[in-house]
Amino acid sequence: MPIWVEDLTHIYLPGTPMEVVALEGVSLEVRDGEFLAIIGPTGSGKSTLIQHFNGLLRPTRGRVVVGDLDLSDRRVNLRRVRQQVGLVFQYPEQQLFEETVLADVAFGPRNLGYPPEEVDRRVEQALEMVGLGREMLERSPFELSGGETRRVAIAGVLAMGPRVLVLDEPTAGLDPRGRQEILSRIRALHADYGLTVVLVTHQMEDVARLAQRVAVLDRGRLLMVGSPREVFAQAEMLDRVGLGTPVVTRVMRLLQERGWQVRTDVLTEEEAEAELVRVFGENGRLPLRDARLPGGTRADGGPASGGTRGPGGGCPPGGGDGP
Amino acid sequence: MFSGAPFGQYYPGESPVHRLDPRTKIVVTGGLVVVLFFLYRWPAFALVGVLLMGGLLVAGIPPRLLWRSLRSILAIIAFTFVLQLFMTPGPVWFRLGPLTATWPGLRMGMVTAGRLVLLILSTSLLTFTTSPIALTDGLEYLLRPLRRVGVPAHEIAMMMSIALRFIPTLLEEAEKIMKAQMARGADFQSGNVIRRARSMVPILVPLFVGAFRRADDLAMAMEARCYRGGEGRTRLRVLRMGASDLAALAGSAVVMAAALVLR
Ligand SMILES: Nc1ncnc2c1ncn2[C@@H]1O[C@H](COP(=O)(O)OP(=O)(O)OP(=O)(O)O)[C@@H](O)[C@H]1O
Ligand SMILES: [Mg+2]
Repeated sequence: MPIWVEDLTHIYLPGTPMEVVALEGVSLEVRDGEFLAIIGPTGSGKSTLIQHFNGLLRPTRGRVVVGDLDLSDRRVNLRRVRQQVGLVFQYPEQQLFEETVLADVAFGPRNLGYPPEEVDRRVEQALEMVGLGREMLERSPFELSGGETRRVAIAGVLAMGPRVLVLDEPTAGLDPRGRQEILSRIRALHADYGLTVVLVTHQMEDVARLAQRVAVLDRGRLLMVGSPREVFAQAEMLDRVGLGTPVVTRVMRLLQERGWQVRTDVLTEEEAEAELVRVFGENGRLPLRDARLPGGTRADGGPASGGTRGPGGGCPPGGGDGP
Repeated sequence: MFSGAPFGQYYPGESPVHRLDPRTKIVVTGGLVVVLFFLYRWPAFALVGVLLMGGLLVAGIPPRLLWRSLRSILAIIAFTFVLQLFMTPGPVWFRLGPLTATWPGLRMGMVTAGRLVLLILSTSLLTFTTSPIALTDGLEYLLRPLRRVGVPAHEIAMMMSIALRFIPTLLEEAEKIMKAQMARGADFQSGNVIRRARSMVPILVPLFVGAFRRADDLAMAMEARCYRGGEGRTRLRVLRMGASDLAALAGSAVVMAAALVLR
């Protein structure tokens, strides 16, 4: 289900001294079945933009059309739109409120008025989609790990059966394993379940690895839309707005600056490896096997940790202890 | 975005009223609130009204904002007016079914309405022109003499400023949670009272969980920075009364005294 955004402007608290122009003249299409990433520095309007996709926010100016529904039409049933366009907020685990995973994931489908058997079916399917088993059903969402709670929260949106899934920084605050789990689930939702996915992220590596198209926002304006390769080719522009490019892309640029004839449009580690093998392996300037770094470990262990504390360990004497 | 959050009504500005010492404004507002309850004649109301309008004008508060804060209590004003109109005994003005409106009732209703409007205007003038921080600072200073009789002035002020600091955060959080539940098809508008009350559960539970977590974090962060209550604590902003404060106090005192004479 495609989404069209036409000349969208959103102003928070218009007419007050606190007025903020969060979006200005943004036109964008989310194509049916695609994987779109939205990137932009903090405060650039990403969250504001995606809340227009399911009618949680109304445009100050401009139009949003979801499938064949024009959201500016007051008669549109917003609940239907929200069922079709599932929106997962940042830190979605903070909205869990039920005593069991089952009850929480069932919240959405119940609101949509499905009969109990259908609700159960949807809950199980949604949990399966995020890779959680039936043994989760009766547990409390407050006793799960960070990555698990977040998957429960995503399941809560998937249980409504959306065609489009919009995720706002779904990996924020997770450890590397939790991040990988979530990302591989999202990839599967797109590849295996055929969902249209819109991913808001600050991680350029994730964009390079997952997205088919990228939209770049800066201070409420749409800077560019294109394939990851096209977008990351604009390294200067991305650096200027403070986003940067994936690490491997940067490495290739640095190599090129040092005079090596390498391609700089690589996006992933695999592509970088192939390119390095091509360049260094072929002309034999470096025997590759010896040049390879020991897999992922750093001898120096990174910056010193432990042992150092802030100035002074205690509070100054006097006062406080009171009468 | 946090500093700009639309809490309460502080309307930032640099007017002479904004620059007055918060204690001056608190004392004058407190005095006005008391005086208002003794007034029942038009000239007295007019006098106080002129004082307040002058203050609001100098402070540059847009009438739109004033109207907004008045509108919120319009229903209460109308209710008390109708109550007074029909419940006060005296010569009959008109009858409406079993109810009788009286002339003294009309008068009392108008007096009460006038008091309420002036009450709102005076507290609005205070909150529009004084930031919450300045307000609690001023309050702490004013409460200080009461410490002798066991009033924990510093703690009260600290609690107030923490509460004020977190109201916008909580509102923001509530809005975010509400949107997240709406994204899951929740509906907070329709249904009868019980349904609507129950529909609040998905908002309140996460809100409280978050608030408790935040309170824990805050306590930890305050202790990590050696907070131990008011004892021996010095101040960053020391309040000082200036000539304009004295002038404002004297001027308001004269107007209030005159209003009391005119009653
Ligand atoms: N509810 C609100 N009320 C007022 N201003 C807001 C509100 N929500 C966002 N803003 C402002 O709108 C602008 C865009 O915010 P938005 O949250 O869309 O940015 P973002 O790109 O999602 O940032 P982040 O990466 O930090 O999540 C910011 O300047 C923000 O302060
Ligand atoms: Mg955001």
